[in-house]
Parts: sequence; structure tokens; C-alpha cells
Amino acid sequence: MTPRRAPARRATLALTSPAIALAVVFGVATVVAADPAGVVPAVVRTAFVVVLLAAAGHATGLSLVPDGLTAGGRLILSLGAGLAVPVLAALLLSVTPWGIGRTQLLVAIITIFVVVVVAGVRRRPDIWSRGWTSPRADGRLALGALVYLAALAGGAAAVGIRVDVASQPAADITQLSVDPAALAEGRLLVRVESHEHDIVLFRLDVTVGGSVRETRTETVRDGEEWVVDVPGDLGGERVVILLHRVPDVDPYRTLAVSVPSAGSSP
Amino acid sequence: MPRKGAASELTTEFCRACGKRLVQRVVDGELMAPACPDGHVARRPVLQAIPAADVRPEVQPRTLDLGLAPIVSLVGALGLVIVAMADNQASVRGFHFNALFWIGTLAIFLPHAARLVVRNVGVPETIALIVTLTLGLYVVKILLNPTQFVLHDEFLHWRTADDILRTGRLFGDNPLLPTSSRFPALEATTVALADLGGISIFHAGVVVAGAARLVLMLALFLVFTIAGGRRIGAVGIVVYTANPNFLLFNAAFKYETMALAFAALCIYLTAEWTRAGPTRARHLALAAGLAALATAVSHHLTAIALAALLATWCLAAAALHRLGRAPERPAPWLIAAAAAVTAIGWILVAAPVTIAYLAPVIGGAVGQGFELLARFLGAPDISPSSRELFGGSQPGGAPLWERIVAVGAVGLTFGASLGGAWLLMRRRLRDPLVGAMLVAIPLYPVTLFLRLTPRGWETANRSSEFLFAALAIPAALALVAFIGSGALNRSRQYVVVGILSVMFMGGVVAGWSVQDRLPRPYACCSAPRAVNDESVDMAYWLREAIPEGSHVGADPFNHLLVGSYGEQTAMTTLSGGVDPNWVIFARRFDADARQQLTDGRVEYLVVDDRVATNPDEFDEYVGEWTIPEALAKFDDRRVDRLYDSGHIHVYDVSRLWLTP
Repeated sequence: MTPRRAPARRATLALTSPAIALAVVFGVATVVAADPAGVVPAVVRTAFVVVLLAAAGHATGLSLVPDGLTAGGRLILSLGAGLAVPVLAALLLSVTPWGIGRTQLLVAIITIFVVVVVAGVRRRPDIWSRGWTSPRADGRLALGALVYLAALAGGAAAVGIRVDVASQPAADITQLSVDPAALAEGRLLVRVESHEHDIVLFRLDVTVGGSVRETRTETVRDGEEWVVDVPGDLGGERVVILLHRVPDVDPYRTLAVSVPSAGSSP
Repeated sequence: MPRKGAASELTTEFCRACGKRLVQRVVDGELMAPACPDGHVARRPVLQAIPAADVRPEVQPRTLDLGLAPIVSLVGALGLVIVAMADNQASVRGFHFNALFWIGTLAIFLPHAARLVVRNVGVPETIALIVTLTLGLYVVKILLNPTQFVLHDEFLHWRTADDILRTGRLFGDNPLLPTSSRFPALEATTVALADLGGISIFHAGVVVAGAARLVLMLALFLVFTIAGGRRIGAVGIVVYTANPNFLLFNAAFKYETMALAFAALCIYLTAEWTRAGPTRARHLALAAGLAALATAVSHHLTAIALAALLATWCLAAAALHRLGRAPERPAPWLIAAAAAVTAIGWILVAAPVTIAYLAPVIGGAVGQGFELLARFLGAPDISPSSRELFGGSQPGGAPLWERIVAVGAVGLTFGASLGGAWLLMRRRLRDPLVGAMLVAIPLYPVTLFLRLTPRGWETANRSSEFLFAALAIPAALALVAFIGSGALNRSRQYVVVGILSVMFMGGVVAGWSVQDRLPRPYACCSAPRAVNDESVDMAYWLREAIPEGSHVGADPFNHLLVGSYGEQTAMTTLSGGVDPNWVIFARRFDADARQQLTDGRVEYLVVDDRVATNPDEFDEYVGEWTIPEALAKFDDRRVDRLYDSGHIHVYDVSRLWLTP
């Protein structure tokens, strides 16, 4: 004799109904696929994808082992399968001409989901409709949930205060570089990228054999880029490029390149 | 919840004696343990040392009583805030606040451990505690740098994930770690989340590694619970956190993190299989086989360790038969065979490079271990390589009290495991799963011995996550038996929490150097302290400015960034290239140096002049000259300096190639 359960204490997990499950999955897929421009915030999209993977994992777990697991066992089987489903999708896609891309992954994961749902239903027609008995809850659970929220906020605060500090650049960095592709063609394209946390007046000296051929000055803000296309024929010359922070005398950054003659093979 | 009064329902399990379906009775509203209708003993507690009062029915009443778990998690969150403060102090002011780190970490660990060892804690609360303990300690690692990866191996696997994203193919060539792309499970899942969710590989990797860690811990808990009951499972999980790699290494974005989860899931499903009826057994065997396959696709050593454990499990069952003790569980021969075939098959078919990768590591460890052993035994003419523990006597090594704690932790772990084994033997061990776990006990001191050698250290350290999974059961049994059920129960509970704390702290000390525990300012030349904005900016410049896949040489740290964020072919001997350090630290561009550049087709060299701040690191490359003298050779007219960011310079050295 099976003890009768009160309806209020019985809930059916939405995903155990194939129709609802498929609707949820296709809904998620639509949101993800219909957002190529990235309008939906990444956090929301990621949450949708996590739901998609969790649903696929849960369905896979149910199809593989329809019954007999404890709630904890079911949880880890679903989680583990949710981690494995993208691996299977990637392995399958890797041998197809389409390769692994956003659309392909989405289609493959949904296909796997549908296949395991169909396989599960064929194996045990009742598994998707037997429902899931919800655990008994009381007032303490609500209080517990509130405390968990507080704990989550605490954890988030810890990460937040670290992110605030860790995302700050530790040092002032200015990159001075020449474009190798342009150099191979005999052009001298010099780039200064400043991360000095300040507005800096730079002077760029282009020298050949110790004599200055070209001088430029520019005020560059933090995060800005200053590109100089050095004019004149420098082909065959050994060019030294000096970047100064005005009014410093010593060069701040230095490059030295041999400019090939225009038209010569690199 | 069932009605009050007596009722019963059939379960999905079967009596091992007569094959009848077990019946679960409901008495006064509580579900009792499943039992055979003919009165056969359906399941006996494996670990007889547990006080009888502690053997709870396997099926708990369906209540969601989280007990003190929410409060404990709140204390853990405060611990995280303390760790974050310690990290910020260290990164901004360079103040190495080790004590604050310990206070914060123990604020997470201690309340969880204290609650998990208590007898009358239900399964829902235990699971809730394990989840928050796992995630809390995982966040400690994330707090080291919550904006980017900072550990060595994370860059290797970032490269594989990036390759999959860019090319849409698995099994590409990863110059940093060729085996990484051959075991692409972690990266495939990460790429799916990153690509579909529109987030970075870093953020997706953090989520995936966290989920894998959760699966690992919950699966281990269920395995321990099947072997010995809820309390053994709970204490076993706390013992597992004492594994030296738990807090940092196994929380990193690397293939083993994922593989451990699948392996633990496989062991759990196999343990379930041993107590299932025929139909369910087929389902579970298939699921366990697939978990073994997932492990094989994830990581070589974990797959091999899984196959070895399952084989040992079968051998333990056979041994029990020979001893005349009917094993409590059948031997999982089929699953063990599946695990072995998938592990070896994947290595041979998809990742043959693994053999060349592992052979020197394991061979070197064994060789140096034997050399050291010969020296201890008094063999003359042998001067083995040896290694100082805890960072040696150099400044920055672990403080004395940490060394004492670490040594104490080793003694306690080994002692508790031996005690548990003795208890099991005294009670005529009949569970082959537990018997297989006991094999780890003699292996543990062997790995400790290997830690005394430079090459054996890595092998010993890497084995700890496997060994502790096995040591946890006997150690937990001994600790639970020590608590007992008498009048001294509570005070003994405190003692056990103290022991577990020492074990946990010892694991942290052994697995995470005091120098790297907090995000201190830049120091050459290894992760995490060498990860800095200047190197990252250089890597991004390489990606934008020079053709993808160019051969680029760099020092041992910057080559990680060149090969990952830079998307270039970083020169390593591991991937069949040359070691560019022989050129970077050469006195001049002589014939040998130029031959190296020619052989490796090295077009660019990345030179970070901060390498001069840590000359000991490059002793083997530098002769009778200094590092600044070696770096001065880059003023050569045949070399173009294309990039300068203050400390880091990128040189075009292709004109130095020797012409045939």
C-alpha cells in the first residue's frame, strides 16, 4: 500500500514533463540564438545557458538512470551530465564540416537533449510523468533561505572588494611600438599607447646615425593612442626612435629598427 | 510526507539473499531503512566501529531541515570578506598579512568542520554544509585574482579553449602543453558556456571549474556515505579538504579539475551499482561506463587512477573471497574493464603524445627516489638530488610554526588512516570498496619520501588528490570511533575538530607556498606573482601586431602569455621546439645561439629585463657573465627592437638565422 500524499506536498518538476521541458529549452535557445548582437546582458544569457545545460544534464541523468537514486545522487548525476553534454556536442561537431560554433553548439546540445528525452520515454514511459515529491518545508526554511541570501551577499561583497582593487592597473605603462607589417613594406608606423593614469606630453624623436630626422610632440590621455606615420625615405637606414616624457631629458622608451628599402623583399 | 501509522511500499532495491524487492516501512511518519520482507538483512553497516546509535536509516525522512547550515555559511561568508581584505592589503600595500589569511580561511573551515562531525546532523544539512564549504574554499582561490587567471596551468588550458573558439575544432596544436588539446573536456564545456553566454573564457572557466568541484565533493560524500554512513561521509569530506592540492591546485582551470569530478561520479555510480537490482544495475553500469569515458576524455592521469582504483576494488573482492569472507558487494569487473579500455584507448588513439609527456616526469621521480633511498641506505658514490621542504631556508620560506603544523598534519593523517585500517581489520573487513581504499595507506609515506627529491615532488604532489580520496574513509572512521558515544563525546568532538583543522592547515602549507598565498606585488618569474599588466599588454600587442602562430621565444613566465593571450607559437622543448633561454641568456649571438634560433625558426624574442632581479632562477643558462651583460647583446644591429614598454622588449631576430 502506498501512503497517499497531500497534493500540497507534491510537486512535479517542470522538466520532467517532456513538453514543458522542450518548451523551456527551445525558449532558452531562442533567447541565446536571437541575440547575435549581444543585446541581452551577458549575465542573463549565461544564466539561460546554465539552465539549458542543467536541463540537458538532468534529462540525460533521468534517461540513463530512471530511478533509485537519492536526491543527492540525482543532483550530482544531473550536474555531471550537464558538464558532459557540451563535451559530447563538441566531439560530435569536431568531426563534421561545420565545426564548433555558437549555432552549431546550440543545435547539437538541443539535439542531444531531444534524443535523451525520447530515449528516456521509450525506455520507461512513466519516468517523465511520475513527478517528484517535494521535501517538506516549514518556516525555518524561509529563514534559512534569508540567511543564505545574506551569506551570498557576503561572498559577493568579498569578490566585489577584491575586483575593485585587482582590476586597477598596478603600474603606469606606455607602449612604444612599430608596426612590423608596415616596416616590412619600408614604412615606419610608430604607435604610442599610454596607460599613465594622467595626461602626459610626449616627444617622439626619430634619429638616424645620431641625428634627429623628425620630431613630434603630442599630449596623450590615459588609455589613448598616438600613431605617427614617419614621412621621408628611410629605406636602408638604421633608425632609432626615442620617446621622451617632456621635459625629461632621458628617453622614456626606445626602439631600433633597420628599415628595408621600399620594394625589397622582407 | 507519509501518513502517520504503519505503512509500507516497495523500493527499487532487491535483497541480496533472496532477490525479492525490499520494502520500506513507515512508522510514525518516519521512513525506515529498506528491509527484505522475508527478514534477510538487506544492508548492514559496513563500518562496525561506528557507535550503534550513529547508524541512521539510509533513507531519511523527506524533510528539508537545513539545521545550522545557513548560519555556518554566513560565518563562512565573513571569512571570505576577511580573506579579501588580506588579499587587498597584500596587493596594494605589499603587506603580507598571512595571519589575516589564516583567520579568514579558518573562519570558513572551522564552523563547517565542527558541524559536520556532529552526530545528529541530517543528510540535507550535511549536503548544504558540503556545498558551502566547497564553494567557500573555492572562492578563496578566486580571490587571489578575481579578474584573470594567474596560475601557470590556467594559461595552458586557456590556450586550448581559445583555439577551439577561434578554429571551431578540437585537438589543435597547443605549443604550451600539447596534451591539453588532446583531453579537451574542460575546454569544450567552457567554450560552450563562453560562446553561448557571451562571456570570457575566464568567467566561463570559473563557473565550470566551480561546478566540477561541487560534483567532486558531493560524489565523494555519497561514496563515503555508501561505504560507512552519513557521519563517515561527512568527516571523510573534511579529511579530503586536507589534501595539499585542494585549496589551490585542484581549484584551478585545468583539465584535472574536470576529470576528478567525472571520476568521482563514476565511483559513486559504481558504488550504487553494487547494491542495485538487475534492471537498475544495467542502467548504473552504463552510466558509470560513460562517466569513465568522460574521465578518459578529460585527463590522462585521473583516468588511469580511476581504472587502477576500480581494478583494485575487484582484486579486493577476489581477495576477500579467498579469505573466505563473502564480500558485501559484487566486484565491478565490467566497469573496471570499461575504465581501463577507455583510458588506455583514448591515450593511444587520441593522445599518444601523453606517453612522451608523462614518461620523463614519472621516470625522473622514480629515479631520484631510488637515488635518495640508496643514499639513506648508505650506498657510496651516489650524490642524489635532494630538495628542501617548505621553500627551504631562504627568506620567504614557510615560518616555523607552519612547518610544525604541516609535519603534524602528515603524522595525524597517516596515524588516523592506520587507526581506521586497524579498526576495519579487527571487525573483519568485508567491503571490497573500503578494502581497495586501504591500499592508499602504504602508498602515502612513499609519496612523502618522493617529496624530498626535486622531480619526485611533482609526482608526489599530484598524487595527493587521489590518495586522500582513499585515505579519507579509514581516517574518518578512526576519528568518528574516537569521538564515540560516551560522556566525553563533546570534548572529544572538539579534539577531532582540532585534528581536522591541523590536517587542513598542513595541507594548505604543503600545497600553497607562503609567498604565493596572497597577491603580492610583481616578482619574477613564475605565476602567480609574475602575472602583471605589462606582460599581459605585451601579449595583446603580439596578437594584434604580428601574424598568428609566429615562432616567439620568451622567458619561462612570459612564454605562457605569448602562447595564450598572444596566440603565438611560444617556443618550448615540450612541443618539440628549442629552449629560447639559451639564446636570451647567452653572452653574445654566437654560432650556438644562432643555431638555436635557426632550428626553432624563432622570429621574435620577448625579453623582460626584470629577469635580472632573480638570477638564481636562470643559473643553468648563465655562465661567467651577468644577466645585464647578456641582455646588452640585443643592441646588435642585426636585431630590431619593435616594442618597448619599459621592462619588456620584443625583438625581431629573424636576420640572425644561419643560412644553409
